[in-house]
Amino acid sequence: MKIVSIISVFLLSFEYGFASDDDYFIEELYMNPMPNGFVHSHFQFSIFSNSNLFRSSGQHYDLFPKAVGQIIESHDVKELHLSLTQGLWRHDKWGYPVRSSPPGAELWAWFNETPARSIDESWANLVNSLSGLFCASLNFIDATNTVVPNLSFRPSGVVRGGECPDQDSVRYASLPKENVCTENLTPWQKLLPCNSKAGLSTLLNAIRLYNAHYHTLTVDVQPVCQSYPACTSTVLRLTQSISVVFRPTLNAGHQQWSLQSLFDRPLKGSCPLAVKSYIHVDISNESISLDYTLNPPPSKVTSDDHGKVASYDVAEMTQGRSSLNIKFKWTSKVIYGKANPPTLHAHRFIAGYGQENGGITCMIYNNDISNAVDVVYMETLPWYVRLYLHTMKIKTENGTDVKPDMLRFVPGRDRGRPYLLELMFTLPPASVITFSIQFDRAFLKWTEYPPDANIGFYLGSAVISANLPSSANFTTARQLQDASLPSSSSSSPGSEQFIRIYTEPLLLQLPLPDFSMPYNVICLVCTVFAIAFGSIHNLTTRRLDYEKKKETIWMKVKRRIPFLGKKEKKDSKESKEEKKEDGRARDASSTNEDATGDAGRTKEDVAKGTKVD
Amino acid sequence: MGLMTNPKAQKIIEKVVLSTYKPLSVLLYIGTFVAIVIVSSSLFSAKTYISENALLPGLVEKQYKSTSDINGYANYLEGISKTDDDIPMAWLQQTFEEIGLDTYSQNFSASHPFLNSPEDVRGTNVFAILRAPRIAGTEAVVFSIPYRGKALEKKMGSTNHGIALMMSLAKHFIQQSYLSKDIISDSRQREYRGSSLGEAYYDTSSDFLAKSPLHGRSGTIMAAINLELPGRRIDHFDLRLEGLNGQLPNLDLFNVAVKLCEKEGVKATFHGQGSLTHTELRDNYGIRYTSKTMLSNMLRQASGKPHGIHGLFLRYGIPALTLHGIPSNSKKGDQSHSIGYILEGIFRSVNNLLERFHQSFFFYVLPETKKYVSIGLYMIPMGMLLVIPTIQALALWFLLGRKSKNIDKDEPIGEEPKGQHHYVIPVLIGVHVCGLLLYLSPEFFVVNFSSYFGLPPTEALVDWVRSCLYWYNLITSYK
Repeated sequence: MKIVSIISVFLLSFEYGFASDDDYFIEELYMNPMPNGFVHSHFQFSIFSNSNLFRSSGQHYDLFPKAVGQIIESHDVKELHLSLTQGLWRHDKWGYPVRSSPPGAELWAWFNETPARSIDESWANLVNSLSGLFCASLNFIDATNTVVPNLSFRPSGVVRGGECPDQDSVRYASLPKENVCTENLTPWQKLLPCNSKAGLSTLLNAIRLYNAHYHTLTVDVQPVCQSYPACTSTVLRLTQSISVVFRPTLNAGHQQWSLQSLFDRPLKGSCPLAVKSYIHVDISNESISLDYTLNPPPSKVTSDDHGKVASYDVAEMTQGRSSLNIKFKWTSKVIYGKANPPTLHAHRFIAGYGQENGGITCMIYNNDISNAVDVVYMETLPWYVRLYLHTMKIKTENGTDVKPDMLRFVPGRDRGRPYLLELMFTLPPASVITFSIQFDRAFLKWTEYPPDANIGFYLGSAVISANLPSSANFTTARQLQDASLPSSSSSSPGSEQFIRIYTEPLLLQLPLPDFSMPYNVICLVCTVFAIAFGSIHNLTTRRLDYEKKKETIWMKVKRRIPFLGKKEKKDSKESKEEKKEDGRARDASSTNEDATGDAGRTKEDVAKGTKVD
Repeated sequence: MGLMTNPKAQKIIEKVVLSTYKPLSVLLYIGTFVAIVIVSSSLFSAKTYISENALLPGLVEKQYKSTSDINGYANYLEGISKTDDDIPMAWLQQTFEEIGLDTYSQNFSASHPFLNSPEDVRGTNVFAILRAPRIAGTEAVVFSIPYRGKALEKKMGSTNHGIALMMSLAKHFIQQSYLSKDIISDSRQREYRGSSLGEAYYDTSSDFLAKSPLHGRSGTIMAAINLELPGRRIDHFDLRLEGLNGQLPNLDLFNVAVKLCEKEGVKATFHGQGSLTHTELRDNYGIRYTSKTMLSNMLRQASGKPHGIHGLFLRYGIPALTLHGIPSNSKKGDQSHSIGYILEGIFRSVNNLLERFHQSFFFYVLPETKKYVSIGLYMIPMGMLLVIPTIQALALWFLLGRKSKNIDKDEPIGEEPKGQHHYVIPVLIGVHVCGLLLYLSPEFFVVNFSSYFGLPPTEALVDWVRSCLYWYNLITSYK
């Protein structure tokens, strides 16, 4: 089958020169000491598999983990991107990560269209399989938080036949509340060819990782070109990565770090199954360009217009040595400053207070003084955040409206579908664009509240995708993903660079009933019913009228026989009292008789209340 | 419900009400006051307790220690505030950034709704956010301290030591990995007249307040602590709860503060009243002290004025309180450590919260620091008070019935009394004129008389309302 790759702006390509039919494995660690004292470590483990998983039935798994392979095959997955993240990547302080991921869990996948199953069905199965595989609560992904984005996401691997991918075959969901811990790390580590027994993965010390300021576990599966630029065949690439941001300046007061100090252990050697095992230390930051020493000295230092990187070949460096402990030391005192914010970053928050309505505001900063930036903004909100599209405003700093070039809005459906808003607009050079939209907070049914409803409801990060015009402003971290250092970058300098940034997740307070209230309400209502209902019902539904009292035989007799007259008088008194008792009917028949009082009534017939209806 | 319709029973009620409503009203008035006093006594009020399990105040080991930093910061601030009125913004920002916090500032100018005077209130607020490593910036606790400067310090006392302690605590907290809520340090200029953090944070717009956009925020604010620390040594902490319009924070927050103060041996009081001592208790169950505290608490709530800038947070549904340090007479010793422990403890307790404060009471009055009177109890005197208008109304109704009966006897039935509507017209006009005057008078009063009485415009309005109430009371009482 002839495969032609189209290189979309989102497409990443790789060339390693391993043309063999076997699987091969590369492990890399990229470390970036930042000018503000943070140290970013990015572990990347890539497995390339030539065995065509999708075609033959009796596949042979070599290095490619069977657990992942089976999931991909049985659910017709073309591409898979999963991330489990703790903490928020602070773009304004840390620049851009190698691979962006939002706090919590995020999953997006492209599917092959098959007549056998619908994509939604495949998605539901995939989600549950991955949930089991990584011990994560991915099974909470369902129709109420899954969206089909049209503008923000493109396949990141090779696309078949030069045709545009069908945008309906992608599914995206994020769970901002998901917590990440060792229970996710362990199954993730098991997928690695050397597990955590040898190689760079031995550095993954859970105690250190989970004390960091940010860490993310990712799994990406995508088809990539076997050779570039002549893309005649594809291989399946599985990339597992862990990003951690430490702040060694806090405890030590200075940024003298080493593998020992960061991970509590030195590196013993490389994974014997890896064809490449490298550690790259980014030394391109201007502030650290001079006064530092790296011990032991690196195997080689490469520098291009993206930056300067010191590389260690782990296999070579650990030969004849018991361990490798890279130490980064300052030769003079360094003052840590504020990092310059990158070209594009954003700040999102909930505007307004109270439990009735509110708004989401996102300020998007373009710090490039000469170039405008086109961005795609995607907001996915659960159905109980009832968005009003007509309240949407996109404004510049001085209050002029920005007209979106493209707008796609999928309104939510109660208990069925989330709101999806995708916008494409241009950020003028050196500007702050404020996006804002208003919403109403829905009042849920009382069984729909989670047990910890009082914390609030998490709203996932907004996704901002952009093509940055110049790559000069990039931190070198980006290049690792593009080119897997040190081989040449797929993008020539000056061309556009695709980045995706995730804003802050939000915590929204919804109107809550007092959950001890049902008990109070039941007690109160029962009491009120028991005491008051019968009589009030009686009062309000009974209609009272005067009616002629039927003369009984006994009364006739009494009237006729004179000596019973005394008794008759008494009798009439009784009947008068009876009348008074029934006088409660006065309201019902407010006639003149009533107003004239008792006198008027005695001469009339005896009133008797009769229930009508 | 025979009672409602039975004319016999009605007669009896009518008789009883008409014969007793006057003395009964007086009796109930007095009774209400007596009931409030009784309810406040230790016989009736219940002991406070921590309702939210997650708080666990004082359970963790105290770790804070950096007294030397405090002195440096405090000395610098004292030097500045002796000469200057303005907030030392550059220094604050630089110090917070050195500690490692994300620092933002916001300028504001507040104008008066009625006066177009050039003396608009201007100021700057400095926010510094300590980003907690365990969370993606979704939850936060506020540590706010008013910055007063030269002029206000003389009036309201210094807060410089508080700011120094805030910095020192931030230095401590940033090294801890347990933080699961961002800590927003907030130094505020022009406490009541300027922009509140809520206005900046929630981006609410007001015609009378212009503010620059804020470029950084944290998540939902779970609680706010306002500290007013006059110096190295304090006699005791006065805890202040009452917010705008009498709103109160969750009782749990108060309990945590009291408990931690007690643990560190710093006396905590509420309206000047600490926990009752044995001698105080022996004196008629301490009724003299508790009733005074409770009544001043209620009075403060009734005034609607916040008792510290924490009161402005309550408006946004954020539980908040002020720890107001009462300066000590003796100048020996340094309590910075124990005060630091108290605040460390409060922040760690709040940090433990898994949900917002919701377990404990929102409606309560306090007779002392360790007792509370819940809504169930103080509603009894409240109900007694409400009985008075009810029986008065009932009595009027019955009297009306009697009158109409008398009229019925004199006048022939069935004839409409004519020409009786004309007397309503002047009342109607009078009421409308009064309404119009009431509507226009605040502005009129403030514009014309605020300078005459030498009052600042914001005070003038409050004084106008007060004087109105005073005259109203005077007039109605002589009627």
